[in-house]
Parts: sequence; structure tokens; C-alpha cells
Amino acid sequence: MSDDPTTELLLAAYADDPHSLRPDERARVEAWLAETGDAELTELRATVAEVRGLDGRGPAPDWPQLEAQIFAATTRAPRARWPWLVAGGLALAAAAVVALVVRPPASDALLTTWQAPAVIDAAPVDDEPVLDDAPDEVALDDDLALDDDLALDDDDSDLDGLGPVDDELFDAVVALDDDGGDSDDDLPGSGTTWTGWLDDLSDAELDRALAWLDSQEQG
Amino acid sequence: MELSLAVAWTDEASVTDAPVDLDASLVARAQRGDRTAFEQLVRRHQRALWHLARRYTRSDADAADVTQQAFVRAYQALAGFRGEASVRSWLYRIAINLALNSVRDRGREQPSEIADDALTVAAVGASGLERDRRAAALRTAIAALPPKQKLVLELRVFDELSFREVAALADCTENAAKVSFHFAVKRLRALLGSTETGDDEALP
Repeated sequence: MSDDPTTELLLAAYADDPHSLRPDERARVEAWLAETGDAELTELRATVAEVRGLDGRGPAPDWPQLEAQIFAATTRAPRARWPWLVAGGLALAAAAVVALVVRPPASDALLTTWQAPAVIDAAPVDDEPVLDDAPDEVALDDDLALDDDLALDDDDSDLDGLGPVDDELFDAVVALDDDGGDSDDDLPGSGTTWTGWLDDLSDAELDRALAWLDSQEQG
Repeated sequence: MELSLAVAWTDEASVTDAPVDLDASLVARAQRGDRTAFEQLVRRHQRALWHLARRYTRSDADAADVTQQAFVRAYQALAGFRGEASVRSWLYRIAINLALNSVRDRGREQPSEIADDALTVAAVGASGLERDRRAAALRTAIAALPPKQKLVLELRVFDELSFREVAALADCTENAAKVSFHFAVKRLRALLGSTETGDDEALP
């Protein structure tokens, strides 16, 4: 006997085909039938049989013709390759994101600003304690470290090319400090935009520097 | 002609008798570009899809259109088929959606052209009149079923799908499909009873 109220609701499926039910469902229905009788089952079975007796399929079309139409239509229709397109699109998008994150847009101005900090970093600090006193040195080194990371994608020759500039600027600063700036030749080369070293110059040295610049412009 | 018909019915019968793996195997081959495998799929399922579409559209021409479109869609979506449902369920779902769209579009354009099966019973001799009157009443009763019950009943009876497949197509659980089937049959019984007695009160 089954007390499950849903058992009765499986009766039509049982009437259609007892094996359409799971074994436990079938057992419940059969227990229910044993208790209540099979009058309803007989009625349901007759109705299902009547529906099955309908020509549910109706008239048939010309199958070969329909088949030919389908073949022609599928021949014309291009097969979708969307899984590959999606995968390719995702790969491209990922590559673009990685490129943006790892390498921010570089401009000439940014590259130019890298050159001056590189001078300090490349300088022989042990030999030149003057530079250790520079108040901006720590910050410059931090900046340089960041810039070095950002420049990883660049050609190494970009950094290597800073060598001559480093030496020139370093020598100029040392010379100004050492001899009070007697020589115009001690000024850093053009193209360097880092101007922190100017803070350490005296007024006289600045005047001399300006004069040198004027002479360069006129020359 | 008789020979080709016999072969055709043999092919159709094989859809239900052959292992489901045959469909999966054909799809796998078609996914690799084997055109003949896809054509075999068409041959195996076109009849079932046409009859399914015919029941929805009630038009031979629309059923043929839906069947053709269904295979075109399936062909285009082959690469995305992962075998989570049976091939037959997949094709049926495509066809049902297309058939519903067709009915909707026809309803907008030419609502009066959708014929009721109950009104299209062929003229027959006097001996078949009573039987066909009864069949017409039954078709009318089926047409009057709530959509879900009608879908479940037709998929189960006319397409001979398992309740599991019916459930997949009707977006319900297998148990819900069995229960819907029960309500559908009970309702038909009541509708037919009211037709016989002329008593509309018998309707649930």
C-alpha cells in the first residue's frame, strides 16, 4: 500500500507503459492499484490507446525532395566556427590586456625623463660621496627602479645608450662642485631634462650656466 | 517505390531501436567535417522533425520549412554541440523553437490560415464517419489542452520519447513530465466524456 499522494499521478504513465516508471514508482503504483482497484487504470489505458490510435503523423511529404532541400540548404550555409572565434578573440583580448598592464604607453618625454635618474644610478657612488648627499637621490632611485621595470620590454640598447650621457652629466656636476665651474665645457650635454642637480649650484654657477646656454644658442 | 518506402521506414525505426551512441558518433564525425555523417543524421531524423513541426504549424509547407531550418541551424551549431543532451532532444528543441516562431509569425500575418486539425478531417465513407467524428473530437480535445500538457502528451505519444527526453524538451523534471502526462490524459478523458454526453460540466 502507498500513502504517497503522488502515486495516483503516475497512473497514466503506468497505463501507457509500466516500464516508463522507475522500479520504485512502479511498485508504488501497483500497491495503490491493489488497494483501490484498476477501474481508473482501465479508463486511462483506453484513452491513451485512443490517442495513440490517432494518426498523429498525418500525411507524409515527399521525403526525398525534403531531404534534397535540406542537403542543399546546409551546403549553402556556412558552418559556424564560433568556438574557435571566441577562443581566438579571448586570446587576443588577453594579450592586449597583458600588453597594457606590463608596458604602459611610452612617450619620448617619459623616456627622456628616465635618462637623468639613470645617471645617478649608474654613477660610481663609492667614489663620489657628493651624490650620496643629494636629497632627491632616494626618490630618484625609487623612480629608477620603477622605470627599469617598465622598460623591460624595451631593447636593452635603450639603457645601454645612457652610458655616455651618464658620464657626461656626472663629470659636469663634479666639476662644478670641485672648481666652482670655471669651464663651460663642464655643463651637461643637451637632451637631459633632469634638473635636480641645479639645486646644488650657487648663484654664480647658475649665472655661468645661463651664460653658457646663451653662448650655445648664439653659436 | 515500395522498396524505397520500406527502406525509409526501416531507417526511421532505427532511430528508436539503434543505440543512442550512433547519433553521437554521427555528430562527432560531422563535427570533423564528415558531410556524409550529417546527411545520415538528416535521414534519421527528418521525418520525426517534420511531423513534430507539422503538429505545431498545421501546415505541410511550414513543417517542411521548419524541418529544413532546423537542420540548417543544427549544421551551423555542430561545433558547439557537447552531447549534454541526446542528439534527438537537441534537434527537437531546435525544431520546436522554430515551429513556435513560425506559428507566431503566421499568427501575426495570417491568423485565419491556421487550420484546425479537427476541421480538416478528410471526407470518408459512411462506415468511417463515426470513427472520424470521434478522432476529430479527440484532436480538438488535444488542441484544447494546456500548452505544457499538450507538449508532453504529443512528445510522449506521437514522438515516442522517453519521459526523460520529454522532460528535457519541456523544461521540467522527469516526474513533472509524468504528472503532466497524467493530467493530460485525465483531461482528455473528461473532454471526450463531455463530448459524448454533450455535458460541458464534465470539463475539469
